[in-house]
Amino acid sequence: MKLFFKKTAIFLSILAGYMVLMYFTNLLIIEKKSIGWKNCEILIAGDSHTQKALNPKLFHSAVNISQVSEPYYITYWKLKKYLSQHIVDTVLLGFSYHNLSAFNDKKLSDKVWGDEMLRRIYSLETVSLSNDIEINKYELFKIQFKNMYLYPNIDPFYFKGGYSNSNRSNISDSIKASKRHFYNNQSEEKVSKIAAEYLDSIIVLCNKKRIQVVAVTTPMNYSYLNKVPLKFIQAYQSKKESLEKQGIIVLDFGYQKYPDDFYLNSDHVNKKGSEEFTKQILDVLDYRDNHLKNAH
Amino acid sequence: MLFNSIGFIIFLPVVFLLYWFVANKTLKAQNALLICASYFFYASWDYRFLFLLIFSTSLDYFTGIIISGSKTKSRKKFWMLLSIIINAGFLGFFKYYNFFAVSFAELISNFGLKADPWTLRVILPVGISFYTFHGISYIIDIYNEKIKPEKNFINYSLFVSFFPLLVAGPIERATHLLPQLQKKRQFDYSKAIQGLKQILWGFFKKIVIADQCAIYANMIFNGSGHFSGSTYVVGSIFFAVQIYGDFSGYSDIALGTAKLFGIDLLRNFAYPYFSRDIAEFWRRWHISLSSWFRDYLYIPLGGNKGALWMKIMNIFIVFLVSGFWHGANWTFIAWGMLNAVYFLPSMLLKRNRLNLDIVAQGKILPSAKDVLNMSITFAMVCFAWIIFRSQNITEAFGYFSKILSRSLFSKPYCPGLISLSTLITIITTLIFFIIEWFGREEQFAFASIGKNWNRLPRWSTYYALVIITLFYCNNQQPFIYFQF
Repeated sequence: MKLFFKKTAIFLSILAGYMVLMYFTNLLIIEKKSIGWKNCEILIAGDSHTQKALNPKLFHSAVNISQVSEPYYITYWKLKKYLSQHIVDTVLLGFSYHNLSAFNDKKLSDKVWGDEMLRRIYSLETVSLSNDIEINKYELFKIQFKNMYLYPNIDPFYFKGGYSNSNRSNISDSIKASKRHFYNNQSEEKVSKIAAEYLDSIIVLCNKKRIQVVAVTTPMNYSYLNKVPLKFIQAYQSKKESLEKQGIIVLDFGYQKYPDDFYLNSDHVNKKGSEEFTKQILDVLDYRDNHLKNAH
Repeated sequence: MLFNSIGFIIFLPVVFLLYWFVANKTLKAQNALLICASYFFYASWDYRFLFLLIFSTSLDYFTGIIISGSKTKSRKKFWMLLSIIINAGFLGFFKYYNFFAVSFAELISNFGLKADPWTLRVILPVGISFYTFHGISYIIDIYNEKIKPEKNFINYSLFVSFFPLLVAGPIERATHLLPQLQKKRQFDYSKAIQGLKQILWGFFKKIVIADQCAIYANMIFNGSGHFSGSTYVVGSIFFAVQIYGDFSGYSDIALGTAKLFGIDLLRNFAYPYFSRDIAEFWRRWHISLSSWFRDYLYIPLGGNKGALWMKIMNIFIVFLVSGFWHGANWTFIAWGMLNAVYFLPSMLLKRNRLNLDIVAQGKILPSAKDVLNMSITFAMVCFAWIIFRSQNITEAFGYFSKILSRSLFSKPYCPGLISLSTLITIITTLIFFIIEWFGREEQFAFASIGKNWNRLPRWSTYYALVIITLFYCNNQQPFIYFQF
């Protein structure tokens, strides 16, 4: 029996040693390896709305770090990380009705999104996580274990983001999309306090670094907009007013009428729509810059 | 508690240490510890059903003693039948009541009568199909005077409830397990090492092979889109690999765990996908259940003796009951019937015991004839698994009709199927079957790995297996046979 325990102990010790080695290797990779984000003047951040709507290639100098389904708390951490290494003039931040819905608060515990979101954040930041955000700690542990202890993960930056789009067009999903964004089973979702708080944190972070925040509401199809509950329209309007009072520019293109074939689905523009929308945003930004120059 | 859970990873070493360091003085202490651990293991799933398990155990324990003490054959028979009826009654109530209620309502609605079936909202107690069969075989063996009743309640309870086999088998026999529980176990180094290797192999089969194949099997079986016929064929192959990896993986973990406590359980799988005909497949797949039906149903019915119609009827009864044992659904009955149809020709032509040896024994590669026979058998098995996997008969027929379309010979495609992870799964599965092939003369394939190797390559292989298994462990699926 002694031999069995001795051999098992040696076997497990080597395994534990290997895991510790992998952990420190991965820490080093996270610390030292470049995320691959470039320097730019305009940084585009947000969820799939900005990811699909703003093509950074059409800008003079822009980087899009938006990612599908990204809640504001992850955007905040990403901005913090980006701005600790780079300097930008302007942040174009996605701002829409669904960004204020409490469905975002469950993304770290939710069955559908939990795995993906936890995979994104494990190498980002979880220390400053608000207590109000539900987090599936067991899943987070499993993801950390897999990505930190087993092998040298040379690309741990799952939160990197980037512009992506396609030419497809099918706007028939408005019921599904609105249910996902604004309803929990049959009842309406709450307006998220957490989302509003983290949005404010983003503004504070940018103000500290003297970065102009431009909140952008991307075009959505009427079939979707018609299904946005009044509560969220009111919350959006009230937040919009509050942002404007703080000197934030809010570019509301939500009700911009685009032909149906400019939409990927009911709440996202496709490649065609993205080209058109990016041009519109560029015009507005040029106008702002000229205006500022004249003022000086 | 699931084998593939953090809870079990803590539970097993704790029980192991207590067993060999605290309870190793006497047989009583060893068995008492194991029964406490087994009840804790079961109660951690749902403590309410622990009472059912204890009741079922007590019933068979006392009935066994009464049967043995009965003077007349008729009294013995009475007590045996009573025990079987009560055991089967519980199984029927929990597992089949709703099925019969709904089926009856559907039947009478065909005659224009309306019936609102009174269905129950009860969950199926985990392992009831397995421990009920333990009890029934024990009672029948006492009735047939094959064994004497166990007088020690703890020993008998452990026979029924030993935690490695409690929830999904193997279905043990009193003649095999009870004698092991009646004498104090001594620590056996090589048995414990074999146990650990078998547990590791079981986890690999379950987590790396079965759970990965499950992703693609589910994608195709549950997919709402319309795929090519070839894609549906691929789906059925993925499911065939999934169910084998899942259940034989479970069995390996159970057998390996038992070995750590110095106990040998019955082998449940013997490389069934290398079978050259259906009869051989059934001698190699879920062996403990197949042999249970052979000994306690087929042979009492008359087996292959008697008139031709009797032989045919016996085969159909056994496969039908075996199918129904898996669950209260017409799909399982149809699956059993199809297997009976597969099996019947070989039995009638007396060719069902042609392949009793191991395929290509002592050789590296099989002959062309063996390859052809194995391929045909595997194709037939996959075809039957489609019924087993389907939610209902309509879905199964829908699946068949989709296979038998013009697109059967086109390239398989469904969104998500053509990806790097699919390729990795396919390569891993192929490597797995190569290891199985070369280890087919062993109790479990991994037993042959590293036998005569130096420590460095041997341990490196173990580490590789551990790390690969851990890598995949956050995509776990429940064991399929838990629902049975």
